[in-house]
Amino acid sequence: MTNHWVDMINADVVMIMGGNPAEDHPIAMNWLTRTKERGAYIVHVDPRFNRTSSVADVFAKLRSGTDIAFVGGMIKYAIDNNRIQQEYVREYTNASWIVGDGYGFADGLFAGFDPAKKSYDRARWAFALDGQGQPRRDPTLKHPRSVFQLLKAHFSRYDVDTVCRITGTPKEAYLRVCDLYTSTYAPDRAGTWLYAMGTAQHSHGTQNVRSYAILQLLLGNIGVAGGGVNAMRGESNVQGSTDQGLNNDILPGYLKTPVEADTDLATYLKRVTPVTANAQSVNWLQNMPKYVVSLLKAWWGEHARADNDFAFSYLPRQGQGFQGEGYAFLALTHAMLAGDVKGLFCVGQNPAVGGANARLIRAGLDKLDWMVVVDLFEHETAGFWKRPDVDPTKIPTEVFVLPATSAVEKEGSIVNSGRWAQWRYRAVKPIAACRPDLEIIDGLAKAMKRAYEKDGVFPEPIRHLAWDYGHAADPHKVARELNGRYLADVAQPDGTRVAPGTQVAGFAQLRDDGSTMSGNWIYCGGYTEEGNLAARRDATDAPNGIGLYPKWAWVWPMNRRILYNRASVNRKGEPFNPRKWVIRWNAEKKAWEGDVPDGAMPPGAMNPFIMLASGVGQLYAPEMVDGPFPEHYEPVESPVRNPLSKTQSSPCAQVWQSTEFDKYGTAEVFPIVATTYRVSEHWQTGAMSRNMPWLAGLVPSAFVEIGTALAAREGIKSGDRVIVSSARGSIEVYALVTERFQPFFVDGRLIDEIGLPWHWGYAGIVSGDIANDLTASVGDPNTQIPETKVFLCNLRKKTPA
Amino acid sequence: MVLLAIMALGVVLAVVRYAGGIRSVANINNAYPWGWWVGFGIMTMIALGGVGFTITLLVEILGRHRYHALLRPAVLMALLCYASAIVMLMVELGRPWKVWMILVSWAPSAALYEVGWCAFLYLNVLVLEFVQVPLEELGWGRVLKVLRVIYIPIMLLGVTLSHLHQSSLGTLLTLIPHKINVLWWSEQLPLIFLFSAMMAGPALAILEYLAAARWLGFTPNIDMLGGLARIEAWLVGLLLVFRLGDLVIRGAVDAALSWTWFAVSFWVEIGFGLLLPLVLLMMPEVQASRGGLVTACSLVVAGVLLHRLNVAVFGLRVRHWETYVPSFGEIGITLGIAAGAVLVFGVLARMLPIHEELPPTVASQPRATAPAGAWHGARSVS
Amino acid sequence: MTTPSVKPKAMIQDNTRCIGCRACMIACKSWNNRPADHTEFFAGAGYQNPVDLDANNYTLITFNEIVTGAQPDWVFGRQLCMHCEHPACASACPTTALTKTALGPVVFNESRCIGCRACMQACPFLIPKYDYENLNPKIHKCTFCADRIEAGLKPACATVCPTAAISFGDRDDMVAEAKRRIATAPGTYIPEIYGLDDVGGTSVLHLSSVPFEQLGYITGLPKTPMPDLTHRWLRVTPHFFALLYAVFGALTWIMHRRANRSDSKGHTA
Repeated sequence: MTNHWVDMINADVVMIMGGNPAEDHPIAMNWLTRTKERGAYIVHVDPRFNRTSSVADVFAKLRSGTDIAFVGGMIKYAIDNNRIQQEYVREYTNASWIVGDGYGFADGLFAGFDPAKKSYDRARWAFALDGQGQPRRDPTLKHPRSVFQLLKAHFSRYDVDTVCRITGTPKEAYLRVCDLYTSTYAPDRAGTWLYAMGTAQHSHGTQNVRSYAILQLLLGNIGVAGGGVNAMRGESNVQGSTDQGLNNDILPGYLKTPVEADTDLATYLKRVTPVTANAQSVNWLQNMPKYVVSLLKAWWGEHARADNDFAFSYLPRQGQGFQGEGYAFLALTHAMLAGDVKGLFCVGQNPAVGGANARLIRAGLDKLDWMVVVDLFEHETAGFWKRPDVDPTKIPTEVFVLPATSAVEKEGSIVNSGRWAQWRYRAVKPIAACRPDLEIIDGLAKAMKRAYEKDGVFPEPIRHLAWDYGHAADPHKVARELNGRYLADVAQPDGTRVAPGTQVAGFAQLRDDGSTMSGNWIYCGGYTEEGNLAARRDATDAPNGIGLYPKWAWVWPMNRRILYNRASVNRKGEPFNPRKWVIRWNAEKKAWEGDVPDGAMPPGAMNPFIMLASGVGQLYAPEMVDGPFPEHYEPVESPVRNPLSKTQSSPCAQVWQSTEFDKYGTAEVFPIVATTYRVSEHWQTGAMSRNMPWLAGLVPSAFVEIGTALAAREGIKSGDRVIVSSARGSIEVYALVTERFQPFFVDGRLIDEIGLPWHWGYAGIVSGDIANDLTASVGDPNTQIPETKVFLCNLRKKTPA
Repeated sequence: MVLLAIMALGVVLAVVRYAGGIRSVANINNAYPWGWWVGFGIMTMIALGGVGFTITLLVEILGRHRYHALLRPAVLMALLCYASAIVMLMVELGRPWKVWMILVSWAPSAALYEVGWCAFLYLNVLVLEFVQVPLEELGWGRVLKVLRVIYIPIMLLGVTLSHLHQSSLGTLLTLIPHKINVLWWSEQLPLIFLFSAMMAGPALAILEYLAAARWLGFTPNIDMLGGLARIEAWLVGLLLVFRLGDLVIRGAVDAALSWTWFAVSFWVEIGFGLLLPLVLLMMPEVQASRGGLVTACSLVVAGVLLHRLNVAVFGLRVRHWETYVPSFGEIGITLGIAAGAVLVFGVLARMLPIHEELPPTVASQPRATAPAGAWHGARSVS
Repeated sequence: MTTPSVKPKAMIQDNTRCIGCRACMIACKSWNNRPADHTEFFAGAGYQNPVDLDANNYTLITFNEIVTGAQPDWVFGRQLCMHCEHPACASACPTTALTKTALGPVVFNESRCIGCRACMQACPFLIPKYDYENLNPKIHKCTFCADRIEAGLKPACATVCPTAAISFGDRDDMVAEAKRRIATAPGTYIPEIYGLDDVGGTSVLHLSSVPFEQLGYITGLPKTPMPDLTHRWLRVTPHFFALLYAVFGALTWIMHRRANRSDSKGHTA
């Protein structure tokens, strides 16, 4: 999130789209309840009226996969009705920047598309530069090639009737949403945008988020109290896990993974360190080398020296991945199926149930030589070799199950969606042989080090690992290392000297000469000489009273609670909304008050989006692989022809077609749109919740939600068994007939949509068929996140044998 | 023999109930916590036990000694009815081993508390009243003397207590106006219960006397029965007027005239349980005929049974997803208890001087302690 | 009934804030050590399980789909013991196994229970449930977490509710708060507080956005305490007893004397 959970209380309008917090983040509803008490409106946009809709003021339904059409129409509405925060847009976004002549858009395609490679030549989208290499600008925003005018032209096609024709939203509801939400353009009103997997898990998921960002920038809602683009993260500590670089393409602190072409440290740093000639851009990430070197020093200690590139060669480098498609989840599962993967560590994950195209995944598990599962229960992945339709004697995989502990049985921090790192003590001792993940990884690393002492291929990266977290791995030692410390006697700007071993006070003090180490630069400042700041529980609010609670836990970066908060003040440092000010410049003290300012420099010419090379909010984003502007495309499996352009679905989407499991269906055979989602009572694949008798008793069986009209046509009543099928498989579940899920009137006809909670598998004390057997291996071009939120299916009542 | 078989079945079912919990034999559930056991086994049994105080009131208090031949059977019937109700209670209660808790509690706001205490005391009274009979046979003169001294106060206590707990069973059900159908719930339920118990008494006494006459082989005095029948007619008529008047005053006439099962049951109860017997009992031919009396009195007793069941069981509508139909186990146990009571009655009627054969025409009788006729089942005449 | 230092507590159940998450049901089962339910699908509408309160579920969220025109709505209601100010269950219990305490809860003392189930019949909200399959059965209902509130804590359900749909505090404060919510957001609430004066007032005050009968609540109850219905008859018991005894005694004596006089006038048996 750019903002955080408590900040919701500052919103005047809350938009929830592609998310269902009442069911999936119920604790957060506490803040939304308070928000409503203060008179705010909650808008919920979703294919289905669910438990979040029940407490929303306005509900508008939309067909799964049409978010960009919906938001595109809101962007047009805002522009047409002049609901733009003018000063903000002019000063703090790239609205005024002039785009080069290479850019164009026609028939659903941007300029520079290579159909053979299914990718764009993004150089075509470059800005027009002046003599100094700076982008040319028109502060009046009238230049026809200005970002603003191109934006306006692009979304001029998203008029209300067209949008409603695509999304199936009733026009009256749609206009109500547009009017209500765009009212937050006023400087004294703020709108917050909450989203989750319903936004992200699409073949254009990243562009979905881009559309939110564009609208929020136009309305001046980024960097202000009650605003922001706020992802409701899907797992308790997934924020922490991505912060620590557990994704395939990042190192801790969102540093980029080296690739084959990065032959040495200098080459790598040149590639990943953004440069800009823009004098108004802080371009904070120009400091990248300091964070990379500090990371290398943390990992390889004394073995990382200036003369060996700080052990840069010890880092693995990515190639093209499996079949040239990279290393993300879909590629991994296909690689497993092809027999390319010998062994798998499956830690706190249950892909046999949770992954898209789950039958493919389970078939891939059959090909492994060995697998180590670290989890609390023996779930479907751990027991894949004894699943219902296979013969265990034919599966040679050696499976190890290491029992893990739950969050209350271990000490450490969890980072919530709002970047709050909250340290937790251990409440109960683990039972039996269960061990915290830290102890398991620590034990594994120590054993590997011992093994690599004797021999091994390229043993140095393991042998030379600086690995010392105590005899019994101590999370405090890990946290201290993430923060980082001085490794040499260093002089400070104020003349004092810092001794080696001192914790670094903040990432601004990290250095690229090997005198500092830090396991994760964004966590630098969280465990200082003051102590473990994540453990603080002081509930005193800051003087601006907007729920910052600066002494409650610790927030990255540098305890800054609202990101880009310099956009909440004008060039003189005066808040746009004095009633809910985030920061303000105290001219007498010559200092900022309020939240930690996003860039300590005094108010003036420097732009607020300091983490972007451009320094301004990106209405036009040429870095995206699938287009600088979002464009509505139909999902890869769709029942309608794209009414908006000739390009049916995302031209860059990663659509796997190489295996027998990668089949796709058409509307003739599979006329019903399907989506997947969760319920409050179960957690993810049900590995934990379907082993909790109380929870299992509330929601015991897999079911599909069907609208009353569709149910009546098929002769289905609640409680009937039905078969739901897609091109990839079929499952049998209970039917729940409901008024809350009704067909969409799209392009002149009614399209039915049904929904499957995906919590069930064959393990656990209650079991059921796996919904992900129906979803496809389709990935977003930027992130490869699977399109599990929309596909085509058919259903029929199961007739008794 | 049949009776023994039924009783044995009841015993078996009771064992199942104790070994397996109430659920193993009964259909009562959370929406209908009281069912056949309470409706028939307890409420009807106690209503029928009203024969004791009714006849006692008639003979001993109002001095109608003409009917004294009915007194001992009435007392024994009452004793057995109450004993049956207690046995039923032991099966019906979730924790019968704790029933003594009522006696050590102070819960004057609870109708069941009053019923419990009253019934407990009344049972003791009935025992003290009835035990004179076997003691006479055994010749325990000294004890008998004591018993006869305290007879009047004890008898008065018994009649008074009966009035209290018969009406309190009705009071108990005034607590649930929202559950009992409007045709039966009334603020006057205590009085309705009391009057219907009083009405049941003479009818049951007549039935029992005619049955005993056939079974023990003596000639019943139809005149006496006819006299009682005329009194009974008054009681039935008064209750009929009271019930219908209460219905009208409460504005429930529409419900009575609607096409529902409730209305059907109501009219069966009123028609066959009150109206028809009233007509019959007013007819001299019926008053003078065995068959007529049996018919009319059976209808009255059945009407009281149906009333209790309607008020406590069938007239309830609670949750629409839960229904209640008495199970085989429930009915089996109550029938077993009833069979047991009839069996004991039969045995005692043979062993002890309960029934007195009277001459065909009877003038007013002196005190009941000096019977003039022959006793059946007596080994000696005192 | 209340001493100045003990203020009776009450709870607000605000259904406009309830998201039907059922944390309250699980917390209640946890605190009261209730076993899990073995279910197959859903009972009732939506995701509801079980269909009604029972011996293993002392509170229940009901799922109600309400359609007005083309717009669906999903409204949740909660069933639990109302802890009436004048409880019918306590008044009907012949062994005082159920009592209303000064702090508010109507508590069940299982050592006194004989299993007569008069409380089940008496309760207008149909709350007490019985475990008929148990050999040593007892009454099951919400305890208002009497042990917790005596220790200064809130009931389990109020503690875990994420949206503050459940509030807990002194009854006076809760009544005032309920009224305040209705007054400040009249478009959100129907102008009725369920439990405020129904059956003479209860300790659980429900608020809703739709009429309560649409949420499966029992409505149409009198505003007077239920025990008044029996109290009106039972309080004359001693008087009735004395009167009847005297009248019957007098009658007996009169009839006895008449019979003696007729005897002495020469009529023989």
